[in-house]
Parts: sequence; structure tokens; C-alpha cells
Amino acid sequence: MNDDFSFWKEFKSNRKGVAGLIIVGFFAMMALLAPLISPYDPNATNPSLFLAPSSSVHIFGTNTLGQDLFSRDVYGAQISLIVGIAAGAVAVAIGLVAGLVSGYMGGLIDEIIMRVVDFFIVIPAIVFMIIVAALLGPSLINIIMVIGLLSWAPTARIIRSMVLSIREWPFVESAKANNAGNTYIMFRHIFPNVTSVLYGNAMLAISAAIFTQAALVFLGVGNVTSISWGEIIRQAYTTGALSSGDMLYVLPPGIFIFVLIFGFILMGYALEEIMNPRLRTIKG
Amino acid sequence: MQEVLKIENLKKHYKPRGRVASRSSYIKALDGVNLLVPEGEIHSIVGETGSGKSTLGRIVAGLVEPTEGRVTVNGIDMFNSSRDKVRDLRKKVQIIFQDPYGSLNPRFTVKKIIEEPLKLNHVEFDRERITDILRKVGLTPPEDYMNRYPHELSGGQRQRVSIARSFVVNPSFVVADEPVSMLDASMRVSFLDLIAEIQRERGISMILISHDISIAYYLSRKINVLYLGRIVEYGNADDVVNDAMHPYTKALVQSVPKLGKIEEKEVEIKGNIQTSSSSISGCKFRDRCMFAMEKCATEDPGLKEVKKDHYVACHLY
Repeated sequence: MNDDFSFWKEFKSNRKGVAGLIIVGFFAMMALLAPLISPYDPNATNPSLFLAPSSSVHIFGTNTLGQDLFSRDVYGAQISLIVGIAAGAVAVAIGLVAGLVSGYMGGLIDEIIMRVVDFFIVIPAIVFMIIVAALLGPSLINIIMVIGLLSWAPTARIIRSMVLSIREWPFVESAKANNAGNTYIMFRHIFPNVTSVLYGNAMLAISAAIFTQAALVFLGVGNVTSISWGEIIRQAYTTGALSSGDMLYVLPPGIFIFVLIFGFILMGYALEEIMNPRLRTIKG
Repeated sequence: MQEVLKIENLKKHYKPRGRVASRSSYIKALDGVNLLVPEGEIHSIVGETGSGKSTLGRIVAGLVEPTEGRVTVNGIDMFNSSRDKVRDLRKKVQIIFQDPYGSLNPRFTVKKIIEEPLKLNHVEFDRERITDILRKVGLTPPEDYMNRYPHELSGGQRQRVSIARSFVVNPSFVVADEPVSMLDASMRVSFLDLIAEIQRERGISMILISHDISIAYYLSRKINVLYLGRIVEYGNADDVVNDAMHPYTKALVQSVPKLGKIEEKEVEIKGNIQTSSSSISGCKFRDRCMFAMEKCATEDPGLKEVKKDHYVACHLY
């Protein structure tokens, strides 16, 4: 437990980490407290307010259905965070297991897994996702699974490269000499030694998933009836608000996506710096 | 006396990487080694890097399969027995590694490290067993060390943990692969004494692998000098060191730094150890030997009993 304490201390003194945490915390609060923050029901329509401009009652104005855009922007944080974290977790979990097995077992198994990884890295993921998501249907779970299942390859590759060096350490041999099985060695001995990379990688996977979800919704794939930032931008585009220069329609969700992703990336870099001593800055 | 470890004609050949290799270009890490270690004795394997001594240790610990030959411990064949027997044998044969940094998982506590061989081998144990062995290796009071991580220990303390892990399952045979080479010189003797004490108390048989003949001399009854996968000299530690016959052994003895007056070197060896493929005919040491004769290039010197219990593979005798 000593370990956790010093980790938190390290994290607190890492500026990138704190900045990232504040950003992510801000959006997490926004998602959790959305019903309290938003002044209107995000789904309540008002035909008399067709694309109302910014005013003291509707600070970002309204959309073509007269829905309050500020409220919708606040609620949009929920989907982004849910899909981002869940899809990131799926990607990291698959990447971890694939990387462990591939790196530790070697030989033909390694060869097969790495060719699959190459396949996923080479194909344009978004096109593939559009096809798969269109076939599976647009539910939230499906979007999470599609993003998760198609973005584990980079994690697998990084984990594998670490496993390749860790498996040669004498403590692995010591366990082998005591009849330890492959599963035991992979998950008890090697896994705890790759978690350092895993945390940073998870943050990057989450940020990628948030972007991908927004992109998919913008392209009309996924659940277009639920409120998300990508969906707000898509509406702005399809209703012509974008071309008519209604910046308060498009910019807030766009900036939210950008800042939230940036927050996760900052946290990812911070975790990598803390966990990897070679990247640590020397403190006086 | 009954032998615990018996090695017969042990060979380990490695295929050179990335080449379509003919049999003759295989690297011969071990090339026909015989060894007998009776109950309760320590025998040493001495040789420089690349002589095959670590490969030998890893084979005995069951980590590497030999190309040819037999390894038996307590009469059970290590590589051609039923699964259960081999599992049981691995429990009885433990290995102490050279590197006290790499041999302990940085994410395990001391307690977890020492419990591991017991758990993996399904041995029932209580807390007492862990504290006893920690006390035995000099980590007292044990409670202070149980929950520490390796990075919170010094190199010497880590090696003590490593020794505790090897002895906690009550092995009947231990391979000590350079157990003190990474420790401070000032601690070496006390470590060797510690290993010898546990070994004597429990009647464990051991092979000690070292590049330093003085360590072998200090701890073991018999010394085997290994050169390119062959034993070139074998005998009682006293005879091998004080009456070294093979030019290579002489060089090893001379290479031990001595305090006081500097003696003139009697034997000079040239160059570095080669990789051993069968392209070398005759005596494998001849390229580096100052006494090399014509015969050495053509005829392979076998191990001969030159004096009582003292075997040498050299055409000089």
C-alpha cells in the first residue's frame, strides 16, 4: 500500500497529470450533474424557437427543433465518457491478453496474433467500423464493442514487446524450475510488470475511443437519437447551421471533444512518466 | 556412498541463429560431460564465460532439455520419466541464480517470493516455515522483511532472499549458479559460509558453478574444469588447485589475484574463448595453449586418470 501512496504523491507533483485530471474531472462532474446543470430538458422541443440565436435564456441558442443547445452540450458528456471508458477498457483488456500470450508463448501463436495485429493496424479503422456498426445496429453496447474490438492492436504490440524482455528474467526461470504453468507465469509474474505501460496506454485508448465515437456519430453511424457531441455537430452540418456560421452551435461540442481528449492524453503521458523511471524528470 | 546427481555423456548443441546449418556448424555448449555428485557433497564446475557451465546448471534444474545424454537425480531420469515424477524432481532440485536483481520479481513481497516454491509444488506450510528460513539466512527479525519489496533491499539482502527461496522446499539437490559473483567482495565469504552451513545441516548435495576457481576451492570437495563444453580436468579441489596439470587450469589458478608478492606467470593463454563447433579438430584448447604440439591438432585428448582420482584431458600427460 506504500506503493499507492508514493504514486499519488508523484502524480500530484506532475503538472501534466494534474491538468489532465482537472479536465477529466470537470467533464465527469458535467456528466454526473447534467440534470442539475442544464437549464432545460435537452429533449424538450419548442417549435417557436427555430434556430434561436444566443440569448440570456438560451446561451448557445437552440437547434431546429427548438431544443436548448447548452443543455444538450452538457448531456453530451455522458455518452462520450461512457463510450470512451468502456471501449478503452475493452481495447486494453484484449490488447493485454493478446500481447501477453503472443510475447510469452512465441512461435506460431505469436506469428498468428501479430499478423492479426498487423491487419488491424493497416486497415482504415473508421471505414471498417462503419461497416461493422451498420451491420450490427446502432445500440450503445454495439458501438462500444465495435470501437473496443477494433482498437486493441497497438496495445497488444506494446505489451508484447515488454513481455519479450520480461520473460527472459531469472525470476521467470525460477518459477519454471518450480513447475509453474504458462498461465501462472503470464498473469502472476509478467502481468504485474507491464501494468506500468498499461495505465498510460488505457488513457490513450480512451481518448481515441472518444474521438472515434464522435466521428462515427457525425458520419451517421451509431445511435443518432441519443444526445452526444458528435450528434450535435452532425445536426449542425445537416441543417445548414455550420455553413450559415452559427458558431455557438458547432464550436462548444467540438471544443469539448478536443479538450476532453486532451485531458486523457495529458493523464496518459503523466502516468507513463511516473511509471517509467527513465522518463522521470530529475528533481532537486 | 550413494550418488544423488548422475550425468552421463551430456550434450547440448545449439543451432546457429538465422542460418541453414549443417550438423557440424552447431554450437556445442556441452559436448559429452560426465558428472557424479554423491550425497551431501559440493562439486564445482569452473570455467570462463562461454564454457557451457551455466547451460549445465540449467539442464540440471530442468530448464533446458539436453540434446543427448542422461541426467538422473536420486536414480530418476530428469527428462525421460513420467510427468508426475519430473514434477516431483523439479521440486527436489532448486537453483540459486547469479543476479540478485533479476531473480526476484519486483512486484512480489519477500513473503510472496519465498512462499512461491511451496505453493507451486503444493507443499503445506505455515508462517513458521517462512520465518524460520528467513532467520536461517540472516534476515532477522523476519517480520521486518516479510512485507518488503525487492527494491527496498540491498543486493546482499536480495541474495539472501534468493537463497531462502531455494532452500525453503527442502531440496535434495541445489545448483548454485555463480551465487556470489554479483556481491561485494567483502560479503562473499560469509555468503559461501552460509550456503555451506545450510548445505551441511540438511545434507544437501550441490553443484557450484563459478568462473572463479578460488570460490570453488573454498567451498567444494571436487572441482571440474570445463572448457568449451568438455571437462578438461577433474579431481579433488586440493589437487586441482595445488597440482594443476592442464594448462587451462594452471591459467585459471594463476588468474586469482594474490596479495603480497607478485609471482611470475608460468602459463600464458592467448586470445578469447571460441565458439565450439566441431570444425575444431583435436584438442579444443590448442589455439590458446603455449604447449601445443602437432598431436594436439589431430588427436582428441580424452580424460585420463593421471594421478589417483585426478583426471586430465591433455597430451602433455
